[in-house]
Amino acid sequence: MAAFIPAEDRFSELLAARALEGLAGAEQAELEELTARFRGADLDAFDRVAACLAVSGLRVEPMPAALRARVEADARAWLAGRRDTAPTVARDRK
Amino acid sequence: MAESLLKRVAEGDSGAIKEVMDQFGGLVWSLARRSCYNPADAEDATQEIFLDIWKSAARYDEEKGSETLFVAMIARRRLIDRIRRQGREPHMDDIDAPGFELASSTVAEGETFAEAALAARAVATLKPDQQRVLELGLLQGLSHSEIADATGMPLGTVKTQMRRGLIRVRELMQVAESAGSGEGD
Repeated sequence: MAAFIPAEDRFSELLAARALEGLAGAEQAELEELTARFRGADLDAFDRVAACLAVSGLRVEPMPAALRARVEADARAWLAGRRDTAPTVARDRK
Repeated sequence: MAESLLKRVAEGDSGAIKEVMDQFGGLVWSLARRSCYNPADAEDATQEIFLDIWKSAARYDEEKGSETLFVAMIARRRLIDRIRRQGREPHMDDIDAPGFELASSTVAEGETFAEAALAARAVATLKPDQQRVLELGLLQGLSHSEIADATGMPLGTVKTQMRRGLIRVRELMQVAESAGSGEGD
């Protein structure tokens, strides 16, 4: 017989699981159901704890220059795409 | 107080891009290198992560943590998605988790350093098995199945220990933060 787990504990367990290795379909659906039930919960809390631990022992290497150039080009393209749509949004607001 | 870099990105400030790269480029690249098998895969992951960072910049809330943690959180989520998509096969080379210690070469500083130090202290109080699986997962970048192979623990036990360990670390951090915020009252 499966052990009974209170909903709040199960909610924490699923949020922790998502932060550690992501969730499969059934667990993701269960998390969405519990999220609707526990409105206002800090959904990122476990992701922040995991991130905290992940950076704590990280030895940082510089990013290769060629990769950095590509990332910056992606960023410029993304910003330009936003600027192209911004005036339309502004006009729509008037 | 200076406006956050991520808010500036969200407002379309192209000058902030270079500053974000200066500040977080090494962090994201190092997290990607730790999780990916080869440099080419890590480069693809890094490009994906930064696109996600630009798109998510407006969601950054400084009351919930430092920009470093926000960037690391987005990076981890993207890397986890990639591992799941790839259905990664275990590799057993160089299984040697360094432990949750703050070294001078880490990115953790200021507010992030304090939070990371708190988290590292909390981990030190966990059971040895929980410490080991969290170190292998979060510091070594191994998936649950890779940890099971490395430690000889059943996969279900690895998952349970990791989840319980992370929940316990969060509880201990909350207690410590409450005690800390009460000191000045």
